[in-house]
Amino acid sequence: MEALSVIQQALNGLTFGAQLFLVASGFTLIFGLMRISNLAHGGFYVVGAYVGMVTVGATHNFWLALVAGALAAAGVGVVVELGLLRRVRNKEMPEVLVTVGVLFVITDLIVAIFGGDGKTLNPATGGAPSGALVIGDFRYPAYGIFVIGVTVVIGVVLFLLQRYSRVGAIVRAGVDDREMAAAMGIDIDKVFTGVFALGALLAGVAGVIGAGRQSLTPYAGTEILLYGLVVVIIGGLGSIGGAAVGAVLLGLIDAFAKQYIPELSYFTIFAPMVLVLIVRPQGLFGRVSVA
Amino acid sequence: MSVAPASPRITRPAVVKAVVALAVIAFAFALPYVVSEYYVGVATLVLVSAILAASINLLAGDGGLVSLGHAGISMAAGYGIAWSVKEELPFGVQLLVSLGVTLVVSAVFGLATMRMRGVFYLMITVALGMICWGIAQKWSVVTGGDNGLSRNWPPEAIRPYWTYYFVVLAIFLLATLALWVISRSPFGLVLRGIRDSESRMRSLGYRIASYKFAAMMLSGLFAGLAGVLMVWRTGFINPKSGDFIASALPLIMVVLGGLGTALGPLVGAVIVVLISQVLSSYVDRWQTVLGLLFIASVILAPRGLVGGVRSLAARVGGRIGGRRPPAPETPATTE
Amino acid sequence: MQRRIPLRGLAVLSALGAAFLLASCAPPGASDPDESAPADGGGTFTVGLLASETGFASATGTDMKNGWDLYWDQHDDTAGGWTIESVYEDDASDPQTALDKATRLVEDEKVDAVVGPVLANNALAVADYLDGAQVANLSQTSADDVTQRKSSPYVIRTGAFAGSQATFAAGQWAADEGYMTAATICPDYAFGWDNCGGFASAYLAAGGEITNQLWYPQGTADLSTYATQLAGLDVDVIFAGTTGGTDAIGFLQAASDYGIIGTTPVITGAATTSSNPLAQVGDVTIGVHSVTYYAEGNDTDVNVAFRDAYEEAYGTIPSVYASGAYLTAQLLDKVLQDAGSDKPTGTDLVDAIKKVAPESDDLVWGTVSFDDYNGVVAPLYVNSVAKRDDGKLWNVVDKTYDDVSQFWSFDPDAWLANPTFSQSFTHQG
Repeated sequence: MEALSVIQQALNGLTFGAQLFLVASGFTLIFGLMRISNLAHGGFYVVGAYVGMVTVGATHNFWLALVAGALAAAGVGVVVELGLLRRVRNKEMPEVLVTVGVLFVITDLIVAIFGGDGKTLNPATGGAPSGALVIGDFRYPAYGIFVIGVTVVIGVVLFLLQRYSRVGAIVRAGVDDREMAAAMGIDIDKVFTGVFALGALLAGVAGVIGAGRQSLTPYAGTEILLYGLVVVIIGGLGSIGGAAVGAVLLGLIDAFAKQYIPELSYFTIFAPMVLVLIVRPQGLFGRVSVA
Repeated sequence: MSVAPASPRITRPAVVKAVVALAVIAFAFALPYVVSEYYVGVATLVLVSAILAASINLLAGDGGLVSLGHAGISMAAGYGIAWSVKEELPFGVQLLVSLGVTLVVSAVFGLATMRMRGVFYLMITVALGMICWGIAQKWSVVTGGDNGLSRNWPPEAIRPYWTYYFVVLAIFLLATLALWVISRSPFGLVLRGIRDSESRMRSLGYRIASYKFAAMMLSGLFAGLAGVLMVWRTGFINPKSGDFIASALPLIMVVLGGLGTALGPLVGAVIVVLISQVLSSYVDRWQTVLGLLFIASVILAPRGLVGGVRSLAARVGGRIGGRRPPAPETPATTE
Repeated sequence: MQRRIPLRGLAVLSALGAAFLLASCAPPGASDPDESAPADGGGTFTVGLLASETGFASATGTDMKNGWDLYWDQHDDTAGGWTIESVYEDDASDPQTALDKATRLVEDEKVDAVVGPVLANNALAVADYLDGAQVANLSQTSADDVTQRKSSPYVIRTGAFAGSQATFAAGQWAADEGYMTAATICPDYAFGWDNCGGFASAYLAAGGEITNQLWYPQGTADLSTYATQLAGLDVDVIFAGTTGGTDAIGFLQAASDYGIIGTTPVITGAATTSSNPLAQVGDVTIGVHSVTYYAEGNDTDVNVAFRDAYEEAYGTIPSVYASGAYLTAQLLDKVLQDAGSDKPTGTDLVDAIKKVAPESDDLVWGTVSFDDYNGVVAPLYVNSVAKRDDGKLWNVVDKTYDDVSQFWSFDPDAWLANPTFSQSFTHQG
């Protein structure tokens, strides 16, 4: 049934888009405030995913795994920020390079501990929604719906935090004008570490959730990071809302391209990116100047 | 930029430098006569990688423009030559084809990035590199897809492994000299100006985008050269030559060796290739070693090994002997 | 400042001149490629094992190594009067590294033969090199051309089936079972094209009709959009030829989630139902069919002995790659038993293997022989996934097809005249 298939593919796209939003939001948050292009984000993703996988295996509790993975990723993030990034604070190139190095090291250590072959995190064994949502002829995995749901909740929380909380106000001030915020007496160092940890936490959550849907390798983080970069370029660096729009757009394009133009499906993710770069290089909602 | 010293040249640092240089040159020339084919191949790999790293060095060292997609350009050039060999075109035409491919791909890279700076520049180049990789994977009629193309040899005369090594050595020396000249030229001066403050250069009337584009084209030429030499070394090419790791490694080399220095790419290439080729036979976790070394270098020795040795030599020698390399940090201006 | 340029330039130019002069003088021992003849230290046969120990294919490399080591552990590293010395190199799942390590094995370690690699692109590059270096390559790869368009007297496929060869029987089986329409799904690169090409060629030749062919980008782990498409089709059987990595896990999971398993018969290539994907995805895979040249659940005496020994040594069920390496070791042993004091290397080794194989009845794959292109001819099994007594999932044999060659029922000359399998060339005949 054509219409059914379209709805199913749209849901596939939204589910993937949800995953992309989780990855992109953390990345854009860190960039927006600290101007750090955190390529180690892919590393935080896999740390969260593997810790989550081990936790599900040991405790058969998916929710615990989600927390464990998120905290593990955040922990690694804090270590990286405090131990490494702070030493090259405000030097753009060294910051990026350090994150590249961290990505390398994390990936290789994961290969060392877990091996390079594919693994799964079976969410069903942990009590997460499983099986399928069936309405007549229509059928869609329940876990996919769950992913969309969780991501919407997280997105709303982030938005509310940014807009209405004191911490959010501080972060927004920091994004707009770092020096001024520091001059106003805000402990910008603590804010930086906190935001970095939050970004890493989001990556960890993305990792655990993603591992439940696609099988996991040490390179999974690097792969999804590329999609995440495209999303933030489209949505605009520093904008959570932009990340949401970009993620949904990319997810839908990806799902339908795989169905209708499969030979070019790899390249279709770059098409909106190129368009945005030509028409509005700072991204749809970007507030950071580009050149 | 330092002033030419007025006092006599024979100072301790200068003597040390000359001795070291002679030793290195002697070693480079003697190599095929003392080690096996495998190690000569490794040395050739070092030299070719150094050329690719040097192409990145031009953009990043002088221009402050970090490209993480340069392997896309070198891979494209490599496929240009491989495809031409497969089609049995005359040697001159082979070179023209790979040159043409290099120019086209560099132009695309240049157009996409010339209005960008910093992190955006970097992200665009990552995406561009992945697009090149994707094309290599999918366009299997031309590229052989994942299986790649093999038996793409250079002309018979330079094919034996030791001859090829000397040819690459010669080309490396020429390339290094050329890049050094470019860097010392007015063009290089403008690039460094752009790196230090775009707004100031713009207010002086320079067309920033054109300079960035030109820099990418020049850099692309050297990357393409490296790509061709890489294919001829083993006769083999496949999309892995242009993936993210392939773009990250030469950048790692430049940073380890010394961003903005003439010999940094070579020193970095030696370190990285030794770790990835030789250490890997004995240590499984060589990538961790490389990553940690890289991080340490960025944090502790931002001028890389060459820069670090220079300052050390200066302190030991008691006087500044030689041009100080430009500081690679970019100021955090909000523009 | 100006004075420096001439000095530096002069130095560079004189260096260049010297370089060109030296380029004409050959270093000692470089002229004759196989003058690096192995030092014959009193009956030692040195084998270089080129496996992917790191990188995305590391599981295959480990399996290959284990299979090989198991055999020689059982035989105290001896064969006839010869001592076997194994040298291991890691190709890091990368073809350039594979080539460099192969050079090292030949030039520095002076090996008598090279076993591996497994990865298709690595193997093609290495086979090319070994052909030039005149060292025997006991290949473990499935790349079709290694024993077809790029065959060589030095290269023999002793540890794997060609990609398309490995799936012929699936097509025949589907037609035999009366499934007259099929859809296929394979990754969009050489490995996938070969796998689907084998199924399609045999299936169409047997009278079946393929209505849809889905190709997913290499490396895709999330096959939900493809499963959605497959679920919407009305076909009698589905063939899937994943690489056995994350896409295998993704396919099996999605096939279960989207209701394909259970409503439509599914038959896959060997990689999809190898032990890791089965273990990862779990019981929902029970009943899925596969076509393999090694079925761990096969209960011939030879296989039971091999499997038990392997499980005791390594704790896991042996995979296709492990069995291939074990078979290679078996063949080498037999050759060396017959060899007397003359070390068989290069083409002699290859010819000796071809001679000894059909005479043996205890090979782990069953009845094995080789064709004129050094491709292996052996049985193919169609299996179902089942649960063993201890709870582990494995493949149990339903039907055996004997003496499957890399050309099936097609004429080799016609086959070789055709292009390699691709998206535009999807079946023979």
